Amino acid sequence: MAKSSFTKMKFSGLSVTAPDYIRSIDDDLALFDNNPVKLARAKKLIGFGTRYRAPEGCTPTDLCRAAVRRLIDDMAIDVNSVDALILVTQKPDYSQPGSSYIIHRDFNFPKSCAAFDINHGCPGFIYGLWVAGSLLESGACRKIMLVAGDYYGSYNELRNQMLFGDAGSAALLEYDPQAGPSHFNIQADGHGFEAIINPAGGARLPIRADVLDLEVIDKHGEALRLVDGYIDGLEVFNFSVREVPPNIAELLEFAGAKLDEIDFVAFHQTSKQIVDRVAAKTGLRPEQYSTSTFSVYGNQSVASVPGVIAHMLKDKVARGRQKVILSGYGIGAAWGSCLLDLDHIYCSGLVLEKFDRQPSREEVIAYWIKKLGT
Amino acid sequence: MDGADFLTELQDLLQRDEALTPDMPLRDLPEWDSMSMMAVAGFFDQRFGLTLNFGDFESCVTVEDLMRKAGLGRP
Repeated sequence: MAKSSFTKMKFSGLSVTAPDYIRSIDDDLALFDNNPVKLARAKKLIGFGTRYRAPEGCTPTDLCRAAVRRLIDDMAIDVNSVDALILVTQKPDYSQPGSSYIIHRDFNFPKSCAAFDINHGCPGFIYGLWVAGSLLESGACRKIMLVAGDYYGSYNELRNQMLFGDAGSAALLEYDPQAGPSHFNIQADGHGFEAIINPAGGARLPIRADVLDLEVIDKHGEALRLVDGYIDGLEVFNFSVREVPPNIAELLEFAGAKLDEIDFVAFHQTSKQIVDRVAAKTGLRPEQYSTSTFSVYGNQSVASVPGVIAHMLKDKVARGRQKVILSGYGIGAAWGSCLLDLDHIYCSGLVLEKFDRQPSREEVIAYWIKKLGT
Repeated sequence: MDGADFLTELQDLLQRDEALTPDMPLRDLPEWDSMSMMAVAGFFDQRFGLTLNFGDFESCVTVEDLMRKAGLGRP
């Protein structure tokens, strides 16, 4: 049973960065058979609006670096005081090592600061927070930087890319005996692992010429490639409405809290349609949650729960106290929620930044030839 | 909700101008795609407390088959 309570984890600050390159669903008319009626239907049903996408060459690590820089600068953090750097992503710069070590280098974190990646997507911020809370509660760490970022990272014209916006986030968590309680309900079901998956590119099916252009037609008659991400939308919908509302009900019962006391539930932003159904089944009033982060920024994957806090609650958590539930769900299948107070924290808001000086593919190849060649 | 209401609601879900009839094959409707299935799944969850998986949709040939899944008969 992965229900747990901490009393010494203080959530001190949060910074979120999205790339300043907007894309509107209206630009994707071609994906709706150039039929404006179909596009209008998708807007209404799914909640499509705009999203912010990283330019070619800009990775989740780059987005995270920007969020870390802002957090360090604005909170005047001494990196020498940080005991652990945890980076949650599914798209590290290299298949090995993890990207946490790149951030560790870039900001000169000390050797006393542990660093590791957690491979996770949509539920990953909650999982990362749970790990951080455990390390603080046990006394293993006194200060942790929790970094989380993802991008869609494929420029083919598949329908899936319409859902996603890219973002990086960084949170500061501190040991504080007066922090007050935070409660977690963390769950998983490995039987759902094929519902959201990249079939090729891992150790089971490395990308080689035989799969590069291999197209299959899925059960809905839509073309996809094994090198791209696959999402079973109907399965994700059914999973979300089945598992998330009881997860939150259990969390509340475990915490001895009532839904009415909760100021806001920051849901992972799958799509407006799914979040609305999940919220209704959870029993929330309309003012207790939002889907507008999805419609403005897109589904920011592992950074979407931080994205909702930054987008919807910036002033409320910076100037006052909010009792919030954070709820992440999706890939794994995994899902989890936590109940905590965000009380006068630093919050950057959702900051847009330009990333127009990224190395080109040719430059990266040239770098490695020079580095490794003789 | 009766069969007639179901047809109206389904027509609205599909954002379709022309009325639906029970005999229409779902796959012949230009609006019938994976997004429509998500919308219909949401509708069934909300209004009937029923979960529809892909196999349920596959077993539905006509609009009437879908209506029967909801426990409704022809209007």
